[in-house]
Amino acid sequence: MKPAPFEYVVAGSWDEAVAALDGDSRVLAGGQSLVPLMNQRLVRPRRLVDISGIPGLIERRRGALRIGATVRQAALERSTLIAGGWPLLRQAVRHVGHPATRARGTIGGSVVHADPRAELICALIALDARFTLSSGRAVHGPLQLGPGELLTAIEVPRLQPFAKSAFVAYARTSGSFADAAVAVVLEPDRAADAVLGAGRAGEAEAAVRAGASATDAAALAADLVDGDHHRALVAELTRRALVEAGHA
Amino acid sequence: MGVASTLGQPVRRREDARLLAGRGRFLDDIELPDALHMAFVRSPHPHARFELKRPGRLTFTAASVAGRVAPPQIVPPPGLTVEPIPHPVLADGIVRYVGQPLAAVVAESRALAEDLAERVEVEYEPLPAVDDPRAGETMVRWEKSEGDVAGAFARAAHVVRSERVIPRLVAAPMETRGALAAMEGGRLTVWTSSQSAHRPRAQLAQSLRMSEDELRVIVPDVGGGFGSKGTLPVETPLVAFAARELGRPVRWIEDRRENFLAAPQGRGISGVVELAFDAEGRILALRGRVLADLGAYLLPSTPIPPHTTAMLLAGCYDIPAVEVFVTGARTHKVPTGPYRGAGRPEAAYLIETAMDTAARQLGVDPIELRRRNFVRAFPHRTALGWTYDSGDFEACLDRALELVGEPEGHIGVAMCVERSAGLFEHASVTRDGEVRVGSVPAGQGHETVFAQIAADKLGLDVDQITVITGDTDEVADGVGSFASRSTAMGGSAVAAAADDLLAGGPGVARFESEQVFTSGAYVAVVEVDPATGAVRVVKLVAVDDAGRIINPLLAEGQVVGGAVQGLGASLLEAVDGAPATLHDYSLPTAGEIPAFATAFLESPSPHNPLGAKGIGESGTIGAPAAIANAVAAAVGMRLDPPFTAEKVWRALR
Amino acid sequence: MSGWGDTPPDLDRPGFGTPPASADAPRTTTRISVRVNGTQRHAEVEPRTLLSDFLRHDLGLTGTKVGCETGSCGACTVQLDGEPARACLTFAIQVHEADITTIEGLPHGPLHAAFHEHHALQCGFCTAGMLMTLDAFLKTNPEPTEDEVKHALSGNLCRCTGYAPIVKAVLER
Repeated sequence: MKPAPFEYVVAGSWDEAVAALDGDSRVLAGGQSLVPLMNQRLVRPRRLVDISGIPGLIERRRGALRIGATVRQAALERSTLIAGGWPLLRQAVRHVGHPATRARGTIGGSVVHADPRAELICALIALDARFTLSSGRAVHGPLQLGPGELLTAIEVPRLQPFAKSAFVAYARTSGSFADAAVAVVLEPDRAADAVLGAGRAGEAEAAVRAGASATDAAALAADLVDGDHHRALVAELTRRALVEAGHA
Repeated sequence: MGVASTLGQPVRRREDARLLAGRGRFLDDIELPDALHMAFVRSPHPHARFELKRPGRLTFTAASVAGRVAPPQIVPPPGLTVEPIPHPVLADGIVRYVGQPLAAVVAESRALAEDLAERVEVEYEPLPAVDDPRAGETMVRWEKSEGDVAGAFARAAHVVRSERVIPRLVAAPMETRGALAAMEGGRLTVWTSSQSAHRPRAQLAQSLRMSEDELRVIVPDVGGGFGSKGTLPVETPLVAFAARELGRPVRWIEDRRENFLAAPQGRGISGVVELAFDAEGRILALRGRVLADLGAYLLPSTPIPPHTTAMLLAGCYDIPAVEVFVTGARTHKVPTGPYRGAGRPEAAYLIETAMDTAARQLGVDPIELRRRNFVRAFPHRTALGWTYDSGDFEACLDRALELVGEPEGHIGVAMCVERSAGLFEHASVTRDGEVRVGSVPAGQGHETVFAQIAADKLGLDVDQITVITGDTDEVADGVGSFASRSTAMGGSAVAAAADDLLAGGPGVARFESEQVFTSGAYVAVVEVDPATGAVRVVKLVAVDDAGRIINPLLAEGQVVGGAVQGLGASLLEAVDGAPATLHDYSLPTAGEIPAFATAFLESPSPHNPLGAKGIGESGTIGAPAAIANAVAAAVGMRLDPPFTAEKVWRALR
Repeated sequence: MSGWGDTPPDLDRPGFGTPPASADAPRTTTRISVRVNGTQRHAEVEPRTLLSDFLRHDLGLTGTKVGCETGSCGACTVQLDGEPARACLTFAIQVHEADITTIEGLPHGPLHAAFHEHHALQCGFCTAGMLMTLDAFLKTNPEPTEDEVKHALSGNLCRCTGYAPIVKAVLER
């Protein structure tokens, strides 16, 4: 299993990266999702544009968290800023692959690759993250990149004092893609509940705010997914996440 | 002399130093500067007619090698009726499984060879494919009956019927298969990742119409085999042929996708067991039907597992009358072959789940029902025809129950019987401690165990012994390492060769023996999450009686390693369609392992001077049946593996 | 049908087996300089050359093993600038000016000794990846719990040992 030939270009800045992209090229960040597909020749770009050298920071800006797209997943895991202010991200990132893939894989890569099983996307959706693009656009919710557009940063709003969160996943083996996962953020006047691959569970959130039990709210979250076992998994994981976040 | 014997001691392995330093030498670590890489064009269809469009000058096809490379001969176990449908070297006009090789190319690198392979134009016309073995034509047939089975069922107080299925599994050694071939001084040398050196030499000689003298087979360090490297890959004769034709070394290293698609798979059987009981719960007779999904062709080893399944169906029970039919069916899938256990896990699963079903039906405790039916006197010739040489089944069970204590969770018990050894093995020993053995290691620790045995005989320190394996130019003869035979056969050959040397002979021995029978008792403790159906194996107890244990540390390593493969087969693994990656087919990780408690009892085998038996497979035999019984107890109904969360959750509804 | 066997091919021709260039992206090599196990190495690499193949076949450091080439098994784990990384998911061209440690550059220490003592390796094919992963893990977490060890190891598959002896070796090193 060896990749088909390609041309390799290093981009030192977002402008360079955008300039190097054409219809038959792919962006290489950490490569942990892309390279397995290239090795199997399921993806065969003519050109790879390596953006991993473009600096990315984890920083607080006006109270919000800003993460450069090229920040490695391992950096999220180790960041004290994230552990202190947005612990959900730290919980979620520990479910992404394994230490050796997190050391290379980037947050931007996870988001743009948009695998429905991507744990980080699920957590970011629960946190109302905003995606900043090279075109200057900023996007809430599902990310659709236009031609020549790149994800450059992710902004996560400040959580209210006393916010609690939980990330619960079920996978067949430790570290493999989750079959189901749920991210919950509970704040004094806000409840967020994101289901892996299915987005926000608005009805469950409303039920939580209205004082419904974790079990009842979880049943509403499960309606977002298809398949009776999948629904059972989501219901149970949501219930556990709500309980872990302090909602009885 | 005065050096203390280390037999029975947990001697640390002499293999470890080089492997820990990254200095192991596996097949793909052997650099031959001039080597070409071979890549195969493989079928994407389970069944199709095909035509190669304008194959290039450097493309090997069935037509271009016709009459020059022959498929291997099928030599079935005695008593089996076999349709001679050998696996062709390259498909000729029709492909019969996804992954079947139909053409090969060579190039200066693997990447270039893959570029070439994908440029070979093939036009396929898909044909209907047989997926269900019940619809497949019969390739293998075997039957056996002894005693008055009809009479026993007629007068039985209880008749219990149990029908079970084990899916196909992939051995998935961490090192895939492969071959490297080069002409050296007018002879052809073939390096292969294999469980044997002499068998591949014989088969290559036959395939290439060469004499064995013209061939040298070298087996370097092997990164796990588990039975799957006991069968010469169909690709290997072509690699050797290409090297001979081109006058340049040729290398084929199977990649993981090829290993999933084209390496022989294991298991894939379904079976019905009917037991006739008297009013006291004693088994009067057994009826068995085994249907094996053999795949598209017969490899030389394909008929073996179903035959072993049938021959071991009586398990550790004294059953006077039996009637067993085995059918091996042809399907449009990759052929099956031995995978760790190779019929033993299938037999244990069928009989041990039937015993639990019987206990429930008879209203008897499953442990008590087993006690009432154990074979208690040895040697014991089963009604199926094999003779258990020694053992103490009840003592194994008692010890296992002791070790499990008072668990939290549901428990399942299973007994296991491991046919091992048989045939012959060859060894030679010199005064200065050079030992040559026909057994070929794939990680088990042969160098250490054989050194212990030779050192004991010669009165030398273990470190003074050198062990040489896996080279037909160095070792005069041999069989290899499968069926848990290396200690009992290879070890006994070393002991016999040393005896010969000490008696003034040349220090050479060809040790022959009947099969020997390891036994054991396994207990699994499982927890089931009713909300998700997730099954967690909390604890596994393994008590094995493998005769005299030469090295308890290595023996325990075999048991625990085998049990975790059995855990994978129980919870995760099943070939569904055509998995191509380790994402499609999950192996257990460190995160899924239970707590272990292991112990050994030692009923020496009378068939070899060491009193040894095999221990390589017992974990894969006992653990899955015990886990299945524990899951059945937890769920309240019978399921077949793998016990995925979804399957268990459905059963609980 | 194939005419194989009639005309001996010119196998000594450089680039034998290379498909016509027109069908491909431009085939160029780039010179990289990388520090491997403390020694600066220079080489010409094609963009598609995986780090695992570069280490094994260009530099002859065959201690790093290749088990899957999809990042699933962990056998090819090396340390890249001190962090564990899958060599099969990294292109050699990406490691220009990086610092790499492979099993050959990992000094023998208590972890090796514990692997030996507890029979934590059988065939040894996964062992290099295990050690490179664990070495990096233990630098940041020198006193892990059993569950932490299992979690750290879950990206390294072993088909022989059943993991239990490896976990024990780490805890009792």
